[in-house]
Amino acid sequence: MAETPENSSPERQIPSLWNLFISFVTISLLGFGGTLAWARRMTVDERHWMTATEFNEVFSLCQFLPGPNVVNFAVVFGARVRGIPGAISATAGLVGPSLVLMVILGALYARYGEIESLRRILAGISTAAAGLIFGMTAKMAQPLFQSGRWHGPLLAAATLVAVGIFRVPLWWALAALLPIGILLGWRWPQ
Amino acid sequence: MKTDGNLLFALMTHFGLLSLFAIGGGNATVPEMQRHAVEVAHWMTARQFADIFAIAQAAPGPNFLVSTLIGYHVAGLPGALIATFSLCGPSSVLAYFVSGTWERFRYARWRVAIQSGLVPVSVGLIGASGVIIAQSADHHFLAYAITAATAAVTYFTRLNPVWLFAAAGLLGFAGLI
Repeated sequence: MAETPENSSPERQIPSLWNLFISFVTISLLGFGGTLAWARRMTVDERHWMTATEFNEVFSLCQFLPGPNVVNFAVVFGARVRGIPGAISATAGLVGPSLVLMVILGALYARYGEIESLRRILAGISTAAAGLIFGMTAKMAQPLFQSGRWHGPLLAAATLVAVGIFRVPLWWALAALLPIGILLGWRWPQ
Repeated sequence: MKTDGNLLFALMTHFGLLSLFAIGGGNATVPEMQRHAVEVAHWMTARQFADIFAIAQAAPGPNFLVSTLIGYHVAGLPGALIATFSLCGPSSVLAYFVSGTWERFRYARWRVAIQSGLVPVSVGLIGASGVIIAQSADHHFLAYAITAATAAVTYFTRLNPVWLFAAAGLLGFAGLI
């Protein structure tokens, strides 16, 4: 597929508010286990609304900021192309339909959650959900090991043990571990 | 379902705060959500939390919508809406204002330092959420084996996780887990 050159792409499409909304509905409803991969596919590969480089920049910002990364992506991307109304329609598309779905599932769980056969199905899915998270963690940890420095993996392990096993409240863990991480990052930048 | 103003306020403050401390995205906040919902506020049991987490993971849509299910469990529809908007709202407003000035600091040393400090901590937090869910969900050998197998498949392949959920759900239905 031909890539349009950076910064001078006459073919680049500017999505309408409705297009933004519908695209983020699609991203949200297709995005099993990782909506951001779908966000990339939609905005870069299919619709050509941004280049791969632009996506990476926006993506790194969205990971850097607190909050659900994919919501940050909808806000930042929507605002870039259509200002505040764009941010709102992208976010509404992302969150709206899945919110409705979750409310329906929540109501079904409240009513049928204690039925024995459903309990067993959910118990099965929980075991797989835990595995999915471990697999994702391992993928995310890979670059930490590849950087060749010991402090990244050590800091990740310390966070995991403190929060996952000793159940230290998030705020305390962040207050203790983030300054160490930032200091190390300042001393030995990537 | 009757809705209690205090409960809604509690949901709003909990998820609103989490929104701004959710470094590393939605799944990084799961340990704190679980600690608060189960151990501090006693909104639900650990098993119910694991169920709700499984539903949010297996359903289409962003995974942070586990907050919607917690809100619904605690205070019905108003709870679901307040929990979701509190988790997205503060961080969205921040994202909107920061994105305008971000490019200017792209190569600033402090930005690189903060980012390289944040990444390992958020990896650790996401790993911790796996530990917490596994603790509530895995009680038999086969359950541990499925968790390990799912982790391996996720790590080594690009298979859509929905198939893993379907297989694990079937094994559970058959009474094997």
